[in-house]
Amino acid sequence: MKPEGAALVTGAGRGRGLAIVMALVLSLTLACGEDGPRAGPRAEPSPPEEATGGASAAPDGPDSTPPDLAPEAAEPPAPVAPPDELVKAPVPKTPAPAEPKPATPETSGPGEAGSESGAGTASAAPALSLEELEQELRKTRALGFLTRLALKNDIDDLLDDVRAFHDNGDGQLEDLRERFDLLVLKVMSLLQDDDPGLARRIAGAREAIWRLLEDPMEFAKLST
Amino acid sequence: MQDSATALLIAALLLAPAASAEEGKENVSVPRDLFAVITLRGKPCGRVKSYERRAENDYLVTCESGHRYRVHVTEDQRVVVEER
Repeated sequence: MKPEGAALVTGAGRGRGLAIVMALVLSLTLACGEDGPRAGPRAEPSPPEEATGGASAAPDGPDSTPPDLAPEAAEPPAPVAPPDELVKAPVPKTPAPAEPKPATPETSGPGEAGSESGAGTASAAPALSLEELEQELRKTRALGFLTRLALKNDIDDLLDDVRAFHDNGDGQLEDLRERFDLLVLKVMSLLQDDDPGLARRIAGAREAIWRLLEDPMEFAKLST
Repeated sequence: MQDSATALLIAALLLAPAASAEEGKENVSVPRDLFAVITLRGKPCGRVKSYERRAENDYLVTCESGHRYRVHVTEDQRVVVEER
């Protein structure tokens, strides 16, 4: 009996033991499960966070200031404990590099160009940039010799026809405007690849130039 | 202010090509320059396949499209593109 009972007892004991072990394992896994998937990955990711922080800083870091961003990005991971802080830490970092971006000259560039054609509110900006513009036009290396000369021929021809229109009423203003627009487009298309900034400025000044050409008084001043 | 600025701009636009042409410090290759001129004159080309320099500022250009042009500068400083 005893052996059987013992066997039963031992069997039951093993069964209970297994049940207890299973319960413990389950409870442990459940207990870890609550923190595990989040805290675990977050805890492990402390390096990953650095990696993400590094990755987020990487695009800007190497381009702008790697030495500055690298230590800053490395600092946030230091408080590894709270994952929230780690998440928050990179966030403020990204806006920081984002601040200089708003000051991108690209956005301000078109703005200037657009304002040039607009009212005189931006008269100061174009006035300041005109000398530069002239220098750029003289020194731009985006045009070859023959192209420059061909463009000059076209400009001279257009000016001759505008003069004839103002002096003798030859031709139509609409046709001259079309030729002017086409000429500006040609210049822009020639410049846009190698000197896009200059192309943008010319585009911005197009209306102002045309106003001078179509006004007989202004054109006369220009001719003299 | 704006008038003077615009006048300056126009002067720059008008004078720049000639002045720059005199400087002759272009970053543009000869085939590209020839292609730009041919295109400016509204001639079909596609791409400059080859060119032969006959004299200073006088080129015989063969385009990928099969068109052949003579691109040269006349005595009165005009760029002429003639189809051959």
